[in-house]
This record gives sequence, C-alpha cells and structure tokens, in this order.
Amino acid sequence: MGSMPQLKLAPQRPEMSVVQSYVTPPGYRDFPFIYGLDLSSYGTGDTFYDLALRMDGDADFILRRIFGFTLALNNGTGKFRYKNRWGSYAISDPMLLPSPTLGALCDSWPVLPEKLYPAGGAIKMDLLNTNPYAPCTFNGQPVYQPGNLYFQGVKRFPITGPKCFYETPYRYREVPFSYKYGGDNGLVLNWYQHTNGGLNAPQTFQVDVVNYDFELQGITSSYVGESVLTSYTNFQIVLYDSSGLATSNMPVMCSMLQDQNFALINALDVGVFPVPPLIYRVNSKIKFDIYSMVCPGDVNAPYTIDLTFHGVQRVPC
Amino acid sequence: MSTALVNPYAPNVYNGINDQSPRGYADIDFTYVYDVVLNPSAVAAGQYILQDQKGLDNDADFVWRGTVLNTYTGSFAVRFSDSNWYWLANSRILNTNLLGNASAPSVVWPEIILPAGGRIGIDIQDLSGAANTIEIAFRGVKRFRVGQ
Repeated sequence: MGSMPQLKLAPQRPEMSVVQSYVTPPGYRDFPFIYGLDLSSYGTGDTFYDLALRMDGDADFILRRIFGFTLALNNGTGKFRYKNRWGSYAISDPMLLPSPTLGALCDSWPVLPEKLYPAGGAIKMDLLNTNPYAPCTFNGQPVYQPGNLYFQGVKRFPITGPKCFYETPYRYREVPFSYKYGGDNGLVLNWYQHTNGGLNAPQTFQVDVVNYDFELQGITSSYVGESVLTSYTNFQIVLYDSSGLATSNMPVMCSMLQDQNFALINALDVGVFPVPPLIYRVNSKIKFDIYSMVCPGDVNAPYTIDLTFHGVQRVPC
Repeated sequence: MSTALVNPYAPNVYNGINDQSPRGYADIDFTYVYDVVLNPSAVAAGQYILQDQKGLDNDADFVWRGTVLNTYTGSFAVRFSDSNWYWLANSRILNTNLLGNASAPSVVWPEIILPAGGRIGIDIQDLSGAANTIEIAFRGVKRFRVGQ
C-alpha cells in the first residue's frame, strides 16, 4: 500500500508561526501605549544630555520599541542613547541614529528584554544634533509638529472593577474584519496644519462598532486614488480605546503606525499598533483625533484619505 | 497570572517576551557601540588593516546576540573575536555579507558570553580607498548577578 501524498503548505511568515503568549503579573492588564517626546519648542542643531521624558502617574510603563529618529535628529550627525530607570546607560556611546547608511531601516529600535519605567518616573536620554520635523513654514520660519521621538510599549494597570471594557462576555470565533472611516467617502483632510504660524486644533472622528465585538490589530492609511500609502507629511493621530482612554500622550505620525502586514509600505512605514490589540465592545466607537500636516497653500489639498482599522470580529458561536 | 492578548501581526518583541534570564541573574538590554574612521590616504585601497577592540564595562558580563553595521561610508571587511582573541571567522568578511539593522541584526548564534571587563576583538580593513567612517553596534544583554 502506497503512502499518502504529502500536502505541501505555503510557508507561514516566521513571526506568525511562532507567536507566543506573554504572561502579565497577577492582577494586572497591559494597555498599548506610546510616549512621544516633543522637540517642537526647540530648534535644530541642539544637544541635550539627560533630557527626561516623564511617565504618567497612572501606571508603570514597559518599553519595547523606540522609533522616529528620522523625525527628531539630523540624518548624518544626529546621535542618541538612553538610560535604564536606575540611571545607567542602555547604549555604551551615543549612536548615529537615524543611521546615515541604513536610513529608515534603522528607524525602529527594539528593546529586548523589555524595560520597565515606574509610574511618575522618566526615560532619560542624550540627543545630539536635533532636527525636529517641520512639515510647513510661515514667513520663512519652520512650523514644527509636536511629537518626534516615540517610545512604544504598554502601560500596566491593576485590574479593578468590571472587566467589561476589555473582555467579551460570550463564546466566540474570530473572523477577519476591517472598519474604514467614512465608508466610500473616506476621511477628508480639509484643514491646515497652522494658521499664521499657530498650530490648528485637531479634529475628532469615530467609527461605530456594530454587530459584534471587534479586536483592533492594525491601522493603514492611503491617499484615495493613489497607489502609494500616506507619507508622513499629512497627518498625525491619537487613538482612543472604547472607554475614551488615549493610547498615546501626544499625536503620532500616521506612517509610524502603518501596519506593514496589511498593505504595501514605503520605507518609512515600520509600525504595528496597537500591541497588544484593543477590544471594542459592540455598539462602542473607535475614536481618534486627526492633526493635519497639510500646509496652507498646498495646491493638492484637500486630501482624501482611506483610513482603515483592521482586526477580527468576535462572532458568537 | 493572566495571558496578555497577542497581536499576531506584531513581532514577539512588541507583544512581549517574558523574562528569560538564568536563575540568579538579570538580563538587561544593552548595546556596545564601536566607532572608527579608517583613513587610508597614505596607502593603496585594501591595504589598511586595523586590529582593534571594543572594551566591555566592568559591571556585568555581556551576552552578544547580534551585530548591526549601522554606518559606513565605503566598502570594508571585518571579523570579530571573543575576549580571548578567538576569531569567529577565518578571514575578514565583506560588509555586505553582514548586513543587518536594529530590528533585524546580523545574528550571533549561539550567543557568546563575554566576561565583564573583556573585549570584542575587531579585525577591520578598508576596501574603499577613501576615508571610511564606520559605526558598528553589538546588541545583546548585560547579565547582572542578583540576590537569590
């Protein structure tokens, strides 16, 4: 009797095939969070030693990734290093970041093992030769955008009260599902970064979560009618969970959150967010603030953006 | 204890990896940075060779797990050694065969444990014939002894 022919399966992505569980300490839950460092009040060419990025007082922060060097430091002479919570350096010498050779390929700095910074503490760092990102100018002067260097990880909250915000109370199976803001109309960026040099306020949007609970695993954005994804020249975003808790302390460049697993990327798109996923209960809303970086006088404005939230629906079974 | 939700699209490092330190030790993410400018103006291309080292701190052993050729302005070849000058290759290797970035470094497998106060030996040769500014990052962990 001959042997059964072997069915050959396509190889899985390595990171998909070895996904492992992470165990949080008893009595705690992890919430995806990004701390941004704002250099917009400083100029170019500055150097700082022991610059402190303060942690919020509500939860410890677990650092797993640093990104945004291209938006904060001079490409060629900018250098970076940072410290552990007890004050010793995590990098022996100031390092050329962004890398003049690797560029955006070296814009994402994984931290392994992860580092804990206590609530109310600080991430201290040395920045040599800053170059904060300024998408627009006014009267010949750069108009800087807040949010330059980002520290991604999780806030570790003690579990208190009902778990209804982050647990689905029924048996379910997972079905891939995406929510696009605005349906066929998309999101229209029809306001400018600044008025006479003063930054304009963000606008708030939301998407209704219908039928079933939704687990958000990734975000993509792209110009409507264009084949390339949104570059970092158009908008920043602050994402909220279903209870209204912000997932970052300041707006984050959209391209830095662009999930490369769902769509073609350009060289700057290196992000995955939120990690861990966020649960939006049925009838809740995916709320987010958009900060425009469209410059006054842009002949191509307004821009129509396809902003899509990817993940899974939790369908009862 | 509770298991955190996993984002299947994110690398494990962003989802979180629980502490893997050996019993009695604490592993702390650390990177040693080596900067050098090879200036072979006085000699022909390919003839400038430097036997150098990156000294390690005295506070902890270093577990070397990856190498990033972060910056270079020209072609070069390099090989590395452990603290006992045991070379990890029989010859210098072209930089394009050691490519890696911070997220996906050139892997050192199995990891190499280097003693506190030791060194990483570096045998490096410019191949460009011009001034070559090079920065190499050695990624891994410092392994601190902790109370039982």
